[in-house]
Amino acid sequence: MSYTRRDFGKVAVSGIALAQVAGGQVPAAAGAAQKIKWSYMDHWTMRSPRGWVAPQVAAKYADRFYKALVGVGFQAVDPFDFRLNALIQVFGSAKKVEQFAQDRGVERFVNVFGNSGVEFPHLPEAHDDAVRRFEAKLKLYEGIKIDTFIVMPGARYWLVEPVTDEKIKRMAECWNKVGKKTMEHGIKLTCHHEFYCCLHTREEIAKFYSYADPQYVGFFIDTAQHQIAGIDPTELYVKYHDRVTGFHFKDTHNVDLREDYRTPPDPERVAATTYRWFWEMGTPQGLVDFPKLMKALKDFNYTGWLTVEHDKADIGGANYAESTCRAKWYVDNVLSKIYA
Amino acid sequence: MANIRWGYAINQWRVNETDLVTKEQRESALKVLSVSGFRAVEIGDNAIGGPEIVTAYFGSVHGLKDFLNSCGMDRVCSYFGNLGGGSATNPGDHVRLSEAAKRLAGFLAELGGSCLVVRPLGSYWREAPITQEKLRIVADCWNRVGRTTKSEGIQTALHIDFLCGVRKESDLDELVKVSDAATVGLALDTAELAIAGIDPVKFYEKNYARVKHFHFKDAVLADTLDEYKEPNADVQLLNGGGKRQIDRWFYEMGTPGGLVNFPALVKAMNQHNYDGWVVAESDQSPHAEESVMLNGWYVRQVLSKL
Repeated sequence: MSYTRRDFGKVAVSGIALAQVAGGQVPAAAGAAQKIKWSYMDHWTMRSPRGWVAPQVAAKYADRFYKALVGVGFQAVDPFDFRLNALIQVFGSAKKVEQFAQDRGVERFVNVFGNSGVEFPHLPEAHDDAVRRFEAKLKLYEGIKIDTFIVMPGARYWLVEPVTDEKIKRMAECWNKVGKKTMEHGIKLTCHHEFYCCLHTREEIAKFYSYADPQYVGFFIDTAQHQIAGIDPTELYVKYHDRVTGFHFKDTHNVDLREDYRTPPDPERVAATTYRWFWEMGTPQGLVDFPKLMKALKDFNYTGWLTVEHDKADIGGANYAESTCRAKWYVDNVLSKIYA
Repeated sequence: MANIRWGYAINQWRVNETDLVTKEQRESALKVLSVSGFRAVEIGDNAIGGPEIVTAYFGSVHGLKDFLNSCGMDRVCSYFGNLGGGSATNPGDHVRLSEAAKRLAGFLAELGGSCLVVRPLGSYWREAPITQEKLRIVADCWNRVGRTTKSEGIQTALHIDFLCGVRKESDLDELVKVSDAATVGLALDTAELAIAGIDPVKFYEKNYARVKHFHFKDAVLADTLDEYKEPNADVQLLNGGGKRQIDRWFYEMGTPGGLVNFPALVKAMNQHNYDGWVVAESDQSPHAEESVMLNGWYVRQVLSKL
C-alpha cells in the first residue's frame, strides 16, 4: 500500500466504501472492464464444537464457508472432487449444491480437482478404467457448469522413477483419452504438476506437453509447486501460455534442494526441507514473484478465472480464515492494481 | 436515508496477554478487517490502546495512522475506554474522568475518529440500588464529559451492556431524560440489549435522536433468569455462563436463531436518517477471522441491499 499521511484525508469516506460497492454505487475493485475473476480452491477447515471440520461435513458448515468467502469478495469456488461428492450426498445433487452456494453469493464452481482414482496413468492397462472413472464423474456433475477437471498427471516421483520417455508418452496418452471424453461434455482436462509429481522438471514437463494433445489436455500452473521445483512459474506461463487454463496462486518459502520430491511416502506432508511448504500470498519470505506473473498475464491478455489456494495453511497453529483474508488482501491491494 | 459508515471493533483479537501485541498480529487483524470490507476500526484500552501505548508502539499518532493505511484501513472511527477507572456515581471522580476523556478525545480526533464510547456506570450487582439520585449524579458526570469531548469534536456515547447498572428500561429512560441531549449520546449495542430483554429496534425507535453509535452483534439467548443481579455477575454470568453454563453469548450477524432483527433496525435507521458509525463486533468469537468474514458477508449481501 502506498497510502501516506497526506492520503489519509483523501480516503475519509472510510467504511462507506463497502456499502457503496455492495449497493452498486461505485464499481468493485476490478472495475467495469473486468478481465480477471477470483475463485478459491477449497481446503477449508473451520472450528466447531467437535473441533476442526471441513465444509462438506454438513450444510451448516458449507453455509459458513461460502459466506466467509463471499464476505471477502471471492466470486467462485474450486472444490476437490471428493469434497463436492460429499456435498452432493448432503444436498442430493450437484445442481442443489451449486444452488446452495449461489444462494450465498457464489457465482459457480469453476475447476474441480481430483484424479478420481486414476493413480498410475503411466500404465497402459489403466487407461480404459481412467476413461470410465471420468465418465462416472461427468454423470455425477450433470447439470452444473464446470470449466475444467484438474488432475495430477503422474504418480509421485518415487512410485514411477526412472521417469522414462516411454512412461511420459503413456501418461500423455491416458490424459488425451480422458480429455477427449470430458471435452465432449464441454469440460477441459488440465494438469497440475506437484513438485513431487513424476512430471515436475522443465524437461519432463516439456516432453509431456509435446505428447499431450493441446485440444484435450491443458496446463494448470500452481505457482508454489513449480517454485519449489526450482522453476519460475512466470517463465512457465510465458512458454506455455497457449496451453494454460488456470492458476493456483499460492506461495512457498522453500525450494526443494534436498530431493524431497523423490522421498517416500509423501513429500508434501513430511519432508526434510520444511514442515510447511505452502503459504498464502503476501508473506515477507515468499519466493513467488506474483507481480511479475500478473504483468505477464496482462501482456498475454489472459482473461477469466484465477484461483487462490493455500493448502495445509493450518500447519503450526495457523488457520484457513486468516490465510484466506491475507491472500485476498494481497489480491485486492497489490495484484489487482497491476491487472484486474 | 441513513449515512451508515461501517467499522469493526478489534477487541475480539485481544483474548490473551500475548494477543495483538506484535506488529505481525496487528497487521494480520487489520488486513482481515480491510479485506472483509471494514475500513475503519474501533480500538480500546486493551486493544491497540490509548495515546501512551500508541506512542510507545508506533512512535506517534501519525505512526499508527500510517500503519493503519499500510494495512488497507482508512481510520480509527471510535474508542472504547474506561477513562482510567473511577465511577460516575462518585462525584469526586467526575473531574478526573473528564480530564481523562479530554486526553482520549484529543487523541481520537487526531486519528480521525468521532466517537468516545464509555460504560455509564459499573455492573448492576455492584451499583444497585439504582435510584433517581444516583442516575442524576451519573448524568452529571457524563454531561461534564460530553461537554469536554465535544469541545474536541468528539461525541460521547454511553454503551449499555446487559450487566450494566442501567440496563432496566425504566432506568435507561430516566438516564436519557436527565442527561444532556446536546452532549451525551447512546451507543446502542444490539446483542447487549437483546440479552437484557430489550428489543433493540423498539429501543432505537424510542431513542433514535440520542443514538450516536452502534455495535452490531447478535445473541441467541437472553438473561431470562435475571442473573445480572447476582454477585460477581461479570465473572459468573458473562464469562462463566451462569446457571445455564452458556459458553458464548455473542454471535455474528445472521446467525440462525439470532434474537436481533438487523434488517428491521437498519430500515429504522434509514427512516431516521442515521448518520454515523456502525461497528460490527464479535467478542467471544472462537475464531476472530471467520467471524469478520461472516459479518462482512452479512453487510454485503443483506444489510447493504436494504
